[in-house]
Amino acid sequence: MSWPTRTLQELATLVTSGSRGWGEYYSDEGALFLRVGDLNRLSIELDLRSVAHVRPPVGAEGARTMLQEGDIVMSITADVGMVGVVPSGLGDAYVNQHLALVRLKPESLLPRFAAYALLNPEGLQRAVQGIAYGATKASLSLSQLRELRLPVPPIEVQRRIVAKLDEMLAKTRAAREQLEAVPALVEQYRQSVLAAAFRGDLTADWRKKNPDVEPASKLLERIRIERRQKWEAAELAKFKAKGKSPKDDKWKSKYVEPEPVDTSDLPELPPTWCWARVDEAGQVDLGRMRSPDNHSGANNKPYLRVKNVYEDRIDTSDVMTMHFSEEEFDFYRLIAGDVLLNEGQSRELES
Amino acid sequence: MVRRPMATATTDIVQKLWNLCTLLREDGVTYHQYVTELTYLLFLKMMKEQKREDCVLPEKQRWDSLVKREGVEQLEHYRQLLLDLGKSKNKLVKDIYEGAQTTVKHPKTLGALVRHFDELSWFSEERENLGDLYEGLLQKNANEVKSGAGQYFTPRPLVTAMVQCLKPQPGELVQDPAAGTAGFLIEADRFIKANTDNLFDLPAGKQEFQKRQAFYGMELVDETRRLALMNLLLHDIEGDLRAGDTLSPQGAELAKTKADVILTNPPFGTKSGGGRPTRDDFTFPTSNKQLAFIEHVYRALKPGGRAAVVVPDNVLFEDGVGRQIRADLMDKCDLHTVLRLPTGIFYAQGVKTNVLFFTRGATDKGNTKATWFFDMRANMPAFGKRTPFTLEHFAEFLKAYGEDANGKSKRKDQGEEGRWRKFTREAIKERNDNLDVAWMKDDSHTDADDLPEPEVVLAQIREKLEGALAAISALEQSAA
Repeated sequence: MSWPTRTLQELATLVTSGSRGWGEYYSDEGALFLRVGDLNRLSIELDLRSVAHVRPPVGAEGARTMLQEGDIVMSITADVGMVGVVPSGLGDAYVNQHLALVRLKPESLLPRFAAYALLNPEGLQRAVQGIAYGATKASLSLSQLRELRLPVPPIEVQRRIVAKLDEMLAKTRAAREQLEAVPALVEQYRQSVLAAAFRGDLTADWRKKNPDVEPASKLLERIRIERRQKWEAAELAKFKAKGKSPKDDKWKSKYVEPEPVDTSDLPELPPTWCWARVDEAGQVDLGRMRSPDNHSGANNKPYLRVKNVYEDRIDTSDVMTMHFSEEEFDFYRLIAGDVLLNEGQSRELES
Repeated sequence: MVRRPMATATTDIVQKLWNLCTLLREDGVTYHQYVTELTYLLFLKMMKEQKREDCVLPEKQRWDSLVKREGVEQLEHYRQLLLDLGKSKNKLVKDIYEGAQTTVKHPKTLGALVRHFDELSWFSEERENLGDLYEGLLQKNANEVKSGAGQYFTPRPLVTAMVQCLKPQPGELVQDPAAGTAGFLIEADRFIKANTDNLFDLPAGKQEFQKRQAFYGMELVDETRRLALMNLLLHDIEGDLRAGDTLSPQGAELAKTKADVILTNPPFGTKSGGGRPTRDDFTFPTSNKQLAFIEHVYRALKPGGRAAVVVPDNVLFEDGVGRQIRADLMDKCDLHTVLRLPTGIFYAQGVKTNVLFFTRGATDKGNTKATWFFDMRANMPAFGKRTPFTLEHFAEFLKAYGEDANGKSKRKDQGEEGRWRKFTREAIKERNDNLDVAWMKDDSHTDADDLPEPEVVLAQIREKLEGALAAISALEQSAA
């Protein structure tokens, strides 16, 4: 395309930026005070949802940066290159020092066309290249802004380009908005499936087809028996280790039967299910504490810590070791099927 | 016309019919099949009770011909009867029985059904309860997701709320161009009857008008239309429910009989039968069926006529033709109210819907000065099987809408924290005529009791992705 180009200096009657130090004029109502946050990269409309207000100082300094319809507003510090166009009916409005204000000569360029041209990464990047790239805060000076070149096609062409861009950017925004909602919904789905599973919804059909399945209460019975047997076996092993054997069965009464669950406040379960406490169904132990005297020793074994345990996986890329005696190791070693629960420490605090 | 008290508890007969339904379901009979079967039998019984058999049915095809027979003979006669009735010269009979086939396999079942209906005292409370039974079956039918019948059924609380807003009056023409099983028409009739002492307050000529002319519309699917006809007959309505596709020239014909009131819920989705709209009287041709229905509705209204239409979200924000149609709607009509409905209330659980309320102007320009939005979506319980949606949930909206059917009651903007706000036509124009307005902050679901069902969430995810894809497709087309 070989349209003529002009600098902003040639195209504009005013290129300036907002005043410094208007902090003291902030108020809850009054004229609008535009800041970088009121612009965005996705369109040339202003986003006034969290706009600030000012009561500007009386006099020349106040009037200098008052906005008119058709003015182009652009961020020139921090997040450089966001652009907006002042619509009709905005009321009294001003810009702060991070925004430049460009007022085009009438009949030079359509404001929306110029705004889009400034948004064009090709155009602006070349200008920005003159600035310190890689500096923490790139910024555009007013004189650099004045030297920017913009294409100047015939008015009809400008109109058509603006219409097309308005339409296409609107659709892009629509797509983005839809997509942005998805991750939260996926997370919600995960929670919903978990809730449904434990209400029994996911297996309702199977239960209908298999009404004669053994109820969980029977399974729990068997588990209780096994639990007791295991305990008795462990106690006997202790006796044996001391070289003794029990004279009578009195030691058996030391066994603590787990309390059944009080289901009065609990949600209803499908008929073949039942509630159980964790320690009815298995054995709960805390892991082995790390301390200076077991940092290392003769029997260094790898162990898992909070950092390794996630909701959906175990991450063994960074595993530490500590010393376990043979007895300790026997007790603490993990076997397939063990369930790990992070019960304290926040992941971010772990080294 | 017999005075009838309002229906109270279900009677014996109706209970028996429900019990029979339960038995048959264990045999694999669906609600749809059951309610269709009841339709075939009910019609014959009704013709006898209303003493209309002479005009409508030859002797061999009347109710008594069934009652007289037993066992296998009865079943075989019934099968033949259905075929013969499908070829009847009488339009109403043909409409109900064309293509009819029984799903009853055992003579005993048919025997039980015929006996139950025979014992029914037609001119009593029992029959009104029968109407309720029929509607109850239609609702259960709709809830059986696999049947797909949900798309022909709008949840009752929503229908009631919309009718209460529009307040149809005796003497008005009430149209539903996507009639489904006639839920809106029947509810409108119910509203009028409640306010005229069951039509008793009206002179005979006007009563006749209510019965034969007031309620009309169109339904595309024959099987559904059959159920709608029966549903209407059970409520003493014999209006002109045409068979046809509203988005075809048949719809243009329908629009020529202009309505005072239009209440409708066009089918969602793009797959429903009928293909691309083929009417040539639309100013804005579109392949989006819901947008096309909107066009039909505001064309089919008399000047001063009012409408309430259920539409999915995309009608509110779709660009291009969508925007043009919305702008045209807001010119020709006063779009005074938009109700944003919560999810989980329709069969298609994730779908996000709204009700547009508008009144056709006397002129064609600038009729909408402002639109009021009610947000019933944010911070609502997750409706579904565990949390039913009821008329109570509409209480706040009905109060805000006000008593005037055209939305002209005095209304108060509730501000950012409230559910009810006013937006001027200029404000909407600034948003490029996008009516997808929301301002309330939705608290995220943390309580498991408020979590929607998994299918609901999946449907929402799909909807978002499809929305994004649709925007991309549109971009591809414009870039082409």
